[in-house]
Parts: sequence; C-alpha cells; structure tokens
Amino acid sequence: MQRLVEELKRLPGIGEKTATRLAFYVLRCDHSFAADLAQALLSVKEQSRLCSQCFGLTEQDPCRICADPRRHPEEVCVVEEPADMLALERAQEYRGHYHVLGGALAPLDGIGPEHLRCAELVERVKRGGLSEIIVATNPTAEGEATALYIARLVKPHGVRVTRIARGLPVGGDLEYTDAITLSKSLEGRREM
Amino acid sequence: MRFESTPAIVLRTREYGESDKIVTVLSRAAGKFSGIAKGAKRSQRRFPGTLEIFSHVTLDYKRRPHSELAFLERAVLLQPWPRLLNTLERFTAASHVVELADKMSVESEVGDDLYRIVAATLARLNAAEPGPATLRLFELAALHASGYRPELVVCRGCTRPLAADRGPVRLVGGLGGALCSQCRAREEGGMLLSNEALDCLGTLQVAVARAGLGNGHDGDGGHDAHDGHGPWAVEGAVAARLSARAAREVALALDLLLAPHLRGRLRSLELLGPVLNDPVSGGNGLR
Repeated sequence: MQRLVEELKRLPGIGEKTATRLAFYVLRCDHSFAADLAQALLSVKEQSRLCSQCFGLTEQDPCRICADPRRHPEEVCVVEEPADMLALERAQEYRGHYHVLGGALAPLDGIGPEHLRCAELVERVKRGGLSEIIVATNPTAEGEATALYIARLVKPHGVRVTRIARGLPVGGDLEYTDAITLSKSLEGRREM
Repeated sequence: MRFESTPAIVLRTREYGESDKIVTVLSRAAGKFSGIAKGAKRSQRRFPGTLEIFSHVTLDYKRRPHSELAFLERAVLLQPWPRLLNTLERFTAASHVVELADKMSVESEVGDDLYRIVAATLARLNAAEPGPATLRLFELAALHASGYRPELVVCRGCTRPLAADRGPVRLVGGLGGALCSQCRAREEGGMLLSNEALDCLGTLQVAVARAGLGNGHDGDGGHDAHDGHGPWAVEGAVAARLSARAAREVALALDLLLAPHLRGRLRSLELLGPVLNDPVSGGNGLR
C-alpha cells in the first residue's frame, strides 16, 4: 500500500492525502479495475510515440491526421503541446495538419528556441507545399513571444503566417470582461 | 492572518497542480515575495489574466506568520503594458529586466527603489523599442538601488581621477569600480575598459543619479518613462556617439559589475539575444 502511495505522489498535483485516497480507492475496487489500469499505464508507455511529421502523440507513424488524405497538408497549425492539438480537433473546424513545438519560449526558465521543435518546422517549410502557417500558441506572454519568433523564422520563406484570434468568449458578457481581453478583442476587430 | 494590498510587478509564475499558480512579485510595500494563487487558472474574476509575467497589478494578499508563501486573493490590473509583447526585442528586454530584478533581490527585503526602477523601465519599453543604452541604464540604476553604485570617477587604488587617464583602465567587479592605468597592474581579473566606454558609463551614471532612479525620488510606475525626461533622455545622445565596439564593452562592463550581486546566471539575453536582428550585439543593441 505504501509503495502505491509513494508512486502516485510522483504524479503532478498529487500530494500525500490525494495519493492515499486514490490508493484506498484502488484497494476497494475489484481486481479487473486494477488490472485494466495497470495495462493502460503500461501500454501508453509502450505504444505511444511521437509522429515523425507533426510530433503529436500517436500509436502509429505517421499519425492518423498526417496520414489522412482528406485533410489539407498545405495548412499547418503550430501548437505548444499535443493536448492543444486535441483541443483544436474537438472543435471540428480545422482540416489541416499540425506541428507540435513541445513548449513555448520561456527564457526565465531556461527554455530557448533550441529547446523547441522550431528547426523541424523550418525544415517542413523548406520542403515546400505549404501555403499557411497558423500560430496557435497560448495567449500568454511566453506564447505570444513564441508566436513572434515563429513568424520571424517562417516569413522569409514566403509562407503566409497567421495568428489565431483573441478576444471575447462565446456567451460572454462585455460588462464582466477584463481590460486586457477587451483591448485585444478591439485590436483584432474585423470588417462585417 | 490579515489582508494587505500593494502595487506589484509579476516577475515569475509557475503552474501548481490543476489550477493554482505560484507567483513571485516585486512589490512596492513588501519587496519581493512569492505567493500561491488558488484557482488562478480558473478564476477570471479574481485573476483576470493579471498573473502573467510583466503584469503591473494591485495585489491583495494575506500572510501567515513564519510562512514563506503568501495567499494571493486578487490581482487587479494597475497599468497595462500591452506593447511589451509586440516585438521579440521588447519581450527579450523586458524578460532581462524582470530576471535581473529577481536575481538581484532577496525575499522579505523591503525597499521600493528596485520596484520603481523596474516599473519605469517596463513603461519605457512599452513606449518604444529598446535602444543600445536602455538596458544599460536599467542595470546601472539597479546597481544604485541595491547599494552597489560603481565607482567610475576615481581610481579604486590611488583615488586619482580616471578622466585624467589616457590609457585604458581596469574594471574589477569585486572592487565595484576601476583601477587607473598605473594601478591596474595590481589586479589580474576584470577587464580593460577604453576611455570611450568609461566616458559612456559615466554619462549613464550621471543620468541615473540626476533622474533620482535608485534613490527613491522617482515617480511611481514610470508614468514619465519616455517623455524625454528622466534617464531615458540621454539614450539618444549616448547611442549616437557610441561605436558598436564601445557598446559591447559597456555591456560586458555592466555584466562584470552585476555578477557579484546576482543569484544565478542571467539567461534571457543569452537565450534570445542570438535570434534578434543585430549581428554585432546579438540583438538590437541589447547585448
């Protein structure tokens, strides 16, 4: 029991109390749950790898998005993490390909351009066939800096670079919106 | 626990658990401190995008006695500096400013001089692109504010005026100043500094002293940061007469003077400098 608690504590955001609670839950469940959980943990490590084209998580290389002939390979959406790619897929709006950087520029944490998959993106651009790079890094200071860097890197190769829009959420209320979001939404307004 | 409130600048943030953030700020009332913002990633009401690096906010917090982390209750935007993210040059310069402030200050050391300098410099960077002297002025002001004003007028060895020296002087970080051409043989460390670079450092130091940066006389928040007054007024004049070599020398000289007072290496310019435009300084005169 103590070993399970210690292992669970190594997960991000899990402290002693939560680890103990989870361990007791596993103990109370039937044997098949524990076996399925163990099997899922092992298979995610054994079968998941990075797609050699987009660097998203996949069980087959290239991933199902890169291999899908119905998608538009001339459009590439640049995201920070594989989870961002899944979020965009949930929207069912985007039909192009992806490029996962593996993080964002964070000089104060020692993360510079060489720690991200920027060189691989440039290689993709150089191979040709791309018409647009959509930069979908997070709207944080680090994400914005990364977007600026990507634009600086890719634009000289003659590819159109766009940034996803920032502003008011659907169902939001102007009265309760913060000043930064409002100024960004005004800045990004468009013709009707 | 009692509630407190202070203007503050966000120096550093890191995610903690599902939705919390641990934030380090430089505040006007309580110096540098760190706090946990519970539910920061979810609460648009208490932290409406205000716990981002470079944010200038009014921070409500409470502290337990003997606890290292404060509990951050609310952060309201005090002064937006949106243009810090308009170019990579501004972002890199602003990163250098907050990183230096972080590595030069100690938690719970109270004093608002460094806060005022950081606020004034970020406001200056928000107003316009950084020039060759922008960060050098900030670095000198930070040294002044922390009580490490370098001696650039007289020799640290014989007290002879350095301006009378025709040869290069030796700048020694550990001495906090320079040795004249006659005394410089006594020391092996440091760097040789040309008359041009020494003169430039002197001009910058006078500008910092005149503007009152580093001794508590500057206005709050740097509202006059780029209106042609304050230390920024000399930026143009210094940049116009500074050769690329001397600019590099001045940057290295300030690195040397800062090094003994920093906890850890400064990484912003090191990591992002090479990707910026200027091939000589590794980035638009930032270095």
